[in-house]
Amino acid sequence: MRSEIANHGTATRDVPRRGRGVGVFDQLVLLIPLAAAIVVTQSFFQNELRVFLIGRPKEDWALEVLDWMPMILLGLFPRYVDLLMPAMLAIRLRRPRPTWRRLSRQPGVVACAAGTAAMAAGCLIVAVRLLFNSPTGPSFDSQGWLTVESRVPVAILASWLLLALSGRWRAEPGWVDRVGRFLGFYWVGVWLFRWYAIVHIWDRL
Amino acid sequence: VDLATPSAGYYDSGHISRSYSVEVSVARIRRNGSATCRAFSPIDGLILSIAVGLALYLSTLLDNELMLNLRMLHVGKSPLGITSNAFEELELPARRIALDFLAFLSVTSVGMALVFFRRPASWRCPGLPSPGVAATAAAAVAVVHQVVERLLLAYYQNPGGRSIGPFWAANGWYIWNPYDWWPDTALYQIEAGATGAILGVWSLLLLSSRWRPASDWRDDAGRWLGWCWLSTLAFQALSIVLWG
Repeated sequence: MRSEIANHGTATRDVPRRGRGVGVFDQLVLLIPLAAAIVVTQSFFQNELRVFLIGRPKEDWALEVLDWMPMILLGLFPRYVDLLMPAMLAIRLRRPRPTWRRLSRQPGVVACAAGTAAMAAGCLIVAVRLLFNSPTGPSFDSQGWLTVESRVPVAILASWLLLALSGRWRAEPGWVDRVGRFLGFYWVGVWLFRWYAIVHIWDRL
Repeated sequence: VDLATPSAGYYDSGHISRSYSVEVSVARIRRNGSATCRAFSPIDGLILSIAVGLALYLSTLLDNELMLNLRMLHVGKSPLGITSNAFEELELPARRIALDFLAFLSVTSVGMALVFFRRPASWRCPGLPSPGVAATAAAAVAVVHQVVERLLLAYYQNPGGRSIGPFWAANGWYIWNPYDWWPDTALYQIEAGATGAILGVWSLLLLSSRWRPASDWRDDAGRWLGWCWLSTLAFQALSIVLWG
């Protein structure tokens, strides 16, 4: 059946349902966010985490790690996710790929596409600030990242909601869609945590 | 397909079956079209008028508040190096109108969603909706979500303002002050939510090649609303270029 499709259809249709493995080009694409993540991590530890920890009493290292965890999970980890989403979209759109019809039903791809579009809007504003050296505009620090990330959770939630309501949610068992879904669920988790924080944590401060 | 003027050989057996299937498809499109493209009723007009009236009222309230603090928005250092007085004087009115427009769009989005989805028949959506309807629904949900979040923030961050009464009795219009969470103001948060939601649903429509604008007043109005929201994003970038 598959050879029949390959004979009569285009080459892109000959992609097995389980998706493809990790190829050399995929690894090369993934090197870009990895390199960017190293720079981002260094900047985060030098500029932001240090500022956060100034004036805090020295505690047991275990307590300090626990103190760092929310900063890492909510401050640094979203930046890795941001960097990974366009890369995963590029990997998914590389040939051989499933048909557009099948692609648009994969929640991982949809999450990456929506997240990338939302990030592009934020990046536009931050890039303009950087390019024109705006006095109100910060450098690409936490404020810049907040601008980039501010639209991402809502974009993913809206696209997933539409995908689910239209009955087109077809998750693929391949690694590309799985990673995309993980990234999408991470943002949904951040969104849920934000609501939890609003109602419960600030209540006790 | 011109069914009225069949070409030579049209009535061959193959053509007859083909023309029959085309006729059935056209009939189905017409039937579905008449079911989904409902006319603009007086009640729709009434709801929209109330929404637009409320939006204008809220914009006026916000504008009054803005007038007290308008100078805070002044940057006055053009990255382009333009030092003309007329150009500089344009900055504050432009920013003022942009913020008023955000308040107007926020209320109008909810009003338009009420008009679009007030009948249960409009909730049934086989497949993906048209871009205008999707944008309106996404923007309205995002605005409601952001407003509820702002209200909860106002409630939980202001213990003195807590009461079993309505929130406006405790805080008045204070919660609508755009400078409450400066620089991430409430309106910019709403804008970020609405534009993010619109970008999310439109990217899905584009990815699935289902960007098919319907010849329907709902879709036309919805697409206008979507582009208006995205234009606020473009204005933000443009204002940085012009005034810093």
